[in-house]
Amino acid sequence: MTGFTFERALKVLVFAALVLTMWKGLARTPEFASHITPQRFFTGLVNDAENSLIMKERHLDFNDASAKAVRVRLEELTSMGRTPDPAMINEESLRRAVNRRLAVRERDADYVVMARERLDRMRALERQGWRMPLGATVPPPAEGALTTGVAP
Amino acid sequence: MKTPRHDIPISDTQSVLWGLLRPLPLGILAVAAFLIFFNLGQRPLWQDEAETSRLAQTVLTDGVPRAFDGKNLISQEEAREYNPDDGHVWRWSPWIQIYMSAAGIACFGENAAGDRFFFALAGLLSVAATYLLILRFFRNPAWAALSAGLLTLTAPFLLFCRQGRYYSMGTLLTLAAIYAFFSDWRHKNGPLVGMALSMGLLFHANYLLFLSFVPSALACAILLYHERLDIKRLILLMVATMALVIPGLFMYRLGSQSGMFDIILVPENLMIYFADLIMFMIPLPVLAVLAWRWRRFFVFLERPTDPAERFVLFCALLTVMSLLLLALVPQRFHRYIVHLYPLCAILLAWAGMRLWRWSRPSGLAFVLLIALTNWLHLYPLERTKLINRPWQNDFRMLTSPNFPLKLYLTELFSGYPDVNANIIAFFKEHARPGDTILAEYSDLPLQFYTGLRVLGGLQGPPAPEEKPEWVLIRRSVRVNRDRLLFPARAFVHTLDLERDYERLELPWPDEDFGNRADPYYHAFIPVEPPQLPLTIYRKKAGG
Repeated sequence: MTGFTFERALKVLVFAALVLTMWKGLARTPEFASHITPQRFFTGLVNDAENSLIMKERHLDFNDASAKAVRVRLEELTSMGRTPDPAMINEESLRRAVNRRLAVRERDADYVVMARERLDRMRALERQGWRMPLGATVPPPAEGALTTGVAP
Repeated sequence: MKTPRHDIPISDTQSVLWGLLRPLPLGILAVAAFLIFFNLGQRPLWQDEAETSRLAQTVLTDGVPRAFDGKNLISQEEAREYNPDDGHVWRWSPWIQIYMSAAGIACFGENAAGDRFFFALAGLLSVAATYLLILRFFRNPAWAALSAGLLTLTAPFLLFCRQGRYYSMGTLLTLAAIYAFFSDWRHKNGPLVGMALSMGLLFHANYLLFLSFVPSALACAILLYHERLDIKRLILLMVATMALVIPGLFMYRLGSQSGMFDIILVPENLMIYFADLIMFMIPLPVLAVLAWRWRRFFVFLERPTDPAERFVLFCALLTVMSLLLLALVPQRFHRYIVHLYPLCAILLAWAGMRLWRWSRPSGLAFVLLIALTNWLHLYPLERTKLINRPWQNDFRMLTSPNFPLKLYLTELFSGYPDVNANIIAFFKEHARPGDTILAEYSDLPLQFYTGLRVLGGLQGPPAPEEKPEWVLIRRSVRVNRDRLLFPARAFVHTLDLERDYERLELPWPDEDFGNRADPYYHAFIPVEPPQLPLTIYRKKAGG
């Protein structure tokens, strides 16, 4: 008598896991989600974009504070005319630290703009009822269509 | 004589080549050729490709690559790549790709398709080599076809094959070295020479591939195929390989580049390479099952008895060891692991076939998931919060659950409003011969396509007295190895743009790179507005 063996149970489990992956994966594709569950799809995209914006704003705040702290230290040392250990911390190393902070700050400022663009884009897509094309072609964008205004 | 059970069966290469002339492999190669060659020059060269093609232009005039052609400087490392005292000869990245690019330009003209042709051909040959490798040594046409088929449908691999850079050549040479290793190199000189040549040329394709692949392959061979190693032949092989490699150590000044090692980066590199592996190459559940299956090997070094399975373990170990070695290198790019894609395809094909034999519905579902989607790669990572998806990525990129081939075909059929194409078109229309452009990035594509004098980029500081007619500002803020702003941006800060220049906004978005193949950066479909436009400054009359 061949009952419900361990191997058969394993086969069923493996197949079920693969089918579940198929179903969950399909449900996450823009083709399926934007057509079948658009509300959930856009809620996810907007939430994600909001989180990114918050994160990037925090990074910018942190870098502003760090740059300010390093600059204040530089001013203090300049006014004192010395550092406790010039071999480790000196005017040159602090100037380099300030410049590094400024470079990161410039990049983080752009990231905030980019994150805001992303959030606006996702909200616009939701507002316009955007759907992912099912075929393998998309119409070519017109000049200026990608840089201004809201999503089609 | 009966073939020993644990040995790989031997046949000869000529008869195996005939095996390629069957409908199934020919069909796979036709599909691969279409996917790799169709509209090859549709998008212009991006910065890194243009570096290679600009150097190729100097090869065509001088015979050797030079970083200065009398008008423009070719540099992305702030002038570290050359020494003006030895004629600006390029002494940074290896030269094979430069000569391949030069050959393409010489044969097909100074355009993207011509530049990329021989690299695309190497990509196609890699698909054929994957098929031949399995057919010759395992005489299993189904496994060979499935391996080559899966590789053909792997979108990241296809993207890298369409780049005018060493990626596909590195892949082909890796496969050639493995092929030669299994071709009875202990008794025949042909495979020995083939292996030395493959590994030597791999160094001259990219030395990081060589430095990660060769020690890994040797370690895997010792662990899994020690009976195939012969110490005398191994010494001969090492001597022959080093004869090809040693001149390169001096040509590319490897000693000066080794100073960039930074141990702090190693854990992060390891983490990200592992993320690359499970997001784009071998799904985490497959790795987990195989690790369990091969537990006796990891604990007791007990090798699988089935030759096919042992070879698959060889592929997996080689891949993982290569990643471990690459993590020691400060520069971390997906491009350094592209040559491992065929090994991953072989592994996945074997896993699919084993699963098919065990349970047909599961085997079919597995192969469909691997061939047509990235869901088995990404869904488990999303569930376990292990996914490494940059926050800027659009949901229509390879870092989100998608049909990768559909995205790839959409770009092929519909084109893409490439940022470099728009910049090049603008300057071709508006700049006059003799004008100088200061470009914060894309300086090398502009040099290649317009022939104008182009400063900036990642070249190093422009002379303080420079007054360029055009300034191309890019939104992306790039920092150098010292985490400081690149000198081009610092130079722009010294200009009085409002007083001396007229601001022009192009009707196209300012995207970071253009046709970069890296799955974290490659957009197949343009994203919708709002996006900041490309901004160019034109010097006012008398400015």
